[in-house]
Amino acid sequence: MTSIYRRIGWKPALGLLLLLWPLLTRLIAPDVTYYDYMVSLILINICIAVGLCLLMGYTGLVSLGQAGFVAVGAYTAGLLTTNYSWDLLPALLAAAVFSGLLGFLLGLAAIRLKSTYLILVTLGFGVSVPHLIAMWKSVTGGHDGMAVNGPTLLGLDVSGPKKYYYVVLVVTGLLLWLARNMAGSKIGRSFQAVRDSEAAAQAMGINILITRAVSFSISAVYAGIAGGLYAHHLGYISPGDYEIIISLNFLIMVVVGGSRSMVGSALGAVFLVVITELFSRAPAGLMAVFLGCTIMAVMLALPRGLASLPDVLREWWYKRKGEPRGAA
Amino acid sequence: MQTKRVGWGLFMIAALAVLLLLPVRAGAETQGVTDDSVLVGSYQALSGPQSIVSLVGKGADAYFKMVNEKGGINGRKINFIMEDDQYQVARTVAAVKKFVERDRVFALVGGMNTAGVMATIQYTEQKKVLQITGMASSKFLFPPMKYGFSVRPASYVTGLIMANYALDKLGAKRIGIFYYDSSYGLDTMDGLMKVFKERGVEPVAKAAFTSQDVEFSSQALLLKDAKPDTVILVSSFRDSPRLLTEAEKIGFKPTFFGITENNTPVLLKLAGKAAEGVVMPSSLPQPNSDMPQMAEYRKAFSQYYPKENAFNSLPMIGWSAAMTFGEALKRAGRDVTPDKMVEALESIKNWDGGLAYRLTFAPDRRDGQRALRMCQVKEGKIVQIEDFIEIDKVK
Amino acid sequence: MLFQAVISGLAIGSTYALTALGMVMIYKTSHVLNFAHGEKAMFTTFIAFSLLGAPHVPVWGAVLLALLSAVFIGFGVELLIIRPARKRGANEGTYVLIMLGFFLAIEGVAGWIWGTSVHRFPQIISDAPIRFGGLVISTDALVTLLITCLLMVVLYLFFQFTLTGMAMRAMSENLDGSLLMGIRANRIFLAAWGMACALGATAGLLVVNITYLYPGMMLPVLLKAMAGAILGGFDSYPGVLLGCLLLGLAESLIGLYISTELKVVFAFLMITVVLLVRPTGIMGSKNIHKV
Repeated sequence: MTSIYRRIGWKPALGLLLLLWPLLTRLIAPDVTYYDYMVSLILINICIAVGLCLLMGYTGLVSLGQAGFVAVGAYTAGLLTTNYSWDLLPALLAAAVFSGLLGFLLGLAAIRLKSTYLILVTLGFGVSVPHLIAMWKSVTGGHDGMAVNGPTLLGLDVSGPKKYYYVVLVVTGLLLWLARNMAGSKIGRSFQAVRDSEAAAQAMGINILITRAVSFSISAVYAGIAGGLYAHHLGYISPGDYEIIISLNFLIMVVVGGSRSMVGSALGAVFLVVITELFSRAPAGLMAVFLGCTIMAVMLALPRGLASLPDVLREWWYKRKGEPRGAA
Repeated sequence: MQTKRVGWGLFMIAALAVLLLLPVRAGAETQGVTDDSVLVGSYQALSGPQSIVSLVGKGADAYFKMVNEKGGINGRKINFIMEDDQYQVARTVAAVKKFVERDRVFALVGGMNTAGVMATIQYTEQKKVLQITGMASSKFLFPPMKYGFSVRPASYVTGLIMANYALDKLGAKRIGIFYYDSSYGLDTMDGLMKVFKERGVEPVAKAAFTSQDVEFSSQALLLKDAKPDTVILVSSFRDSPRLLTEAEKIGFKPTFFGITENNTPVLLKLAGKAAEGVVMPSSLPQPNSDMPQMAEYRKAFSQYYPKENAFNSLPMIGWSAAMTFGEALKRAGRDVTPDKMVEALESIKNWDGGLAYRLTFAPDRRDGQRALRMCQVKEGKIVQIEDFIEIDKVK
Repeated sequence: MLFQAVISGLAIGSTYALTALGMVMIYKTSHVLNFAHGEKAMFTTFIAFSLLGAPHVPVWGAVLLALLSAVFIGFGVELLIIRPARKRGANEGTYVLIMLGFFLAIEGVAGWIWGTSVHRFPQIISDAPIRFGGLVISTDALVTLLITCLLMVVLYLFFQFTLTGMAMRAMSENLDGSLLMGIRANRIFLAAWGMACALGATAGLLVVNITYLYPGMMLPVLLKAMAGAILGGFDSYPGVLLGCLLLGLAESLIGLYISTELKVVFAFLMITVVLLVRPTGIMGSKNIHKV
């Protein structure tokens, strides 16, 4: 058994499940769109979490303003498809470009500022974006928000939970594949170099300024594309969905899941969305207390996040048995 | 190899989540209605920064519990489920889908968040699920939906009524406006400004504030500088007191005219002496009135939610929405369907349910109440100074 | 009117400064960015509120008990949460997350115990306005300003002349060196957390008159306090005071002369610009740690 799953790995199994998901739900619960909706939501959040992971885990920068980029992407794509009848693909690209540019600018600010101060600037960005969106009432519909058209992709209508699910799946898959490649490539290594030692990185000819800005930009692109998907997933955009609290959610996803690992961050996204749903009918405050305690417990016991759980368990197990590590 | 284990872990979690979330209740003839029960859902901000608004849901819950104790309506008890959406549209949509598809509710009562309601209304209209809300938003009410109703006066209507009252009865010549940059704030402004424009009046000062503002000294100074004789407070009982105390401090004493969201004894508690003389309308009766329905409300709400303050307009709005639903349920009879409910609701004309005053619905009218009565704070108490003012046409 | 705006701005600025003091103290000693600082203050203010509501409790008794409970909460957090984290080699980012978790937990518990309604906190210090030369300031705002300045002086004396204070300074500059010199770090950490939480509790008790009492009361204040502290230099107490006062002033003037809706946006913009020019804040020192 071990050798079979070793050879094939878990990815195909998961991939198959995700591919067949809408069909499975149609079989088990025919009139219910809820499950397709939820998995699409999870996938969208995974995109954001992975983008943030590249910024936080790989480049070592903290951002409390990711929701701002998601908002930019959501509104860009949503307004283009609704007011100008754009197709979804160019709308998403526009969202990506716009958020990426903004991310790059914000990233340039990251150069002069260190840690705590960077947190403040991203915090300010995160607070300002929904506020400014709400103020620009004539274009954005203000606080009430506005409905977004059912999207078309290359001329085909892809609105509706089951069809749209596949759009989300493909885009997410692409973004994850890109991220994986980036992480292993020169860019990824330069991110880590900047994180681990600026002096050494500079000595090797890496331009810290550009690297940091690029890292911000890429995480913003991910957030922006996810935002564009998100807008059409909900069919509605409103500033209240991009408040600072949401940025904190993304932070929690990445750090609790494991900031150094993209799989970990994805896991964190799944964790947070699932927990939120499980607790949605619980007495008020219970989820906050549970989440708060879980975060504290995880950070204390597993500083590298949930993703390090298998490693930690293995180390503990082998310590008990007194066997050499890595023998499995 | 760490990632493989994690991968299986992910897979397990996903599978587990699927299994946990999957159970679906068998559908009845009319969704949500069985022989002895009716299932009603509600999405509320049970936690998070807007959680005070969840008092609306709690008010509705108290009503349903009270009605059930008395035997229900037409032989059916009402099962009421609340779900937390923290005022985030993503969660509202998820909650509504759960309610409609998994729990198979008959109706949704008590929606308050404009963005959340607007994002789900097309869906509920399509699925023929009634939404009886406390919505005051123009987007929701004009033009009217088929299955979407509200028991609370539209903010726009409030603006219309207040503007005319200020000019006619309060003798306002120079008007300043203090408003919350928000959905209801801007809707009210639309109503106010429409009347002001029609009557050729231009406000001398407008000062806005946002949810990030901690105090209002700049706004108070701005308004004082323009020397208005009347200041309209488009803000709630949580924020107006801060302006009132600031104004008192800097010696700024115009007539303050606040919107309905101010009309609650909590305002007096928070603002103290600074609230003296404030004029404000109300769509609801005085919380401490002797009216039997009011006493019933106070008793039930304090019984089921002892930690919360019954003397607050929010749970009363929820009670009112639930009561309206109950009345329609009664009128629709045993053989109830969503369309029958719409008929029943449209048969409600000038209905005085105690907490719901002069509710009227019609095929082209989903905002039940277009009447406000005027009150004023006199010697630390809220006193009625003008009986209900009603308007017929809105646009 | 300009002068009145200045006075009001300084008043609110001193509120931010008082809130920030405790946060900065913890950051300087344990390098923990304490997001939950505001929530703890809210919690102890609620405790005071409950005590004041009970019969036979004198005002000063309630305040004292609230402060004491704050000290114990501080001890508790340091002993049960921060110390274990430190032992496992947490870095600044881990602490941020831990305190975020604590933030969520406390807010949930407070909502559960005291409900979501808004309460008026009994006026301990009168809010009667003091007028001088056409300008006005309310008594409790003036008291806040005075208390903040007084605390600054007390803190200065504490850090200059007491053993514990000097130990804290030593530890924040060079932890290893201090340990080598025999400073009992654990005790100092406890002291720092206890003091900082007491400072926070004081801030809560004074802020509550402006914000009214409800579980979410401290968050906007905390954000402003952080912003002001960073503007002035997050590791310098006089800097914190200066930064917060400047922020309060800027908000007041921007609100009056530019736009009331854009107060917050402008404030953040201003801070960003200042930081771009002077990355460590106006009075901060050069060694800012990376997260």
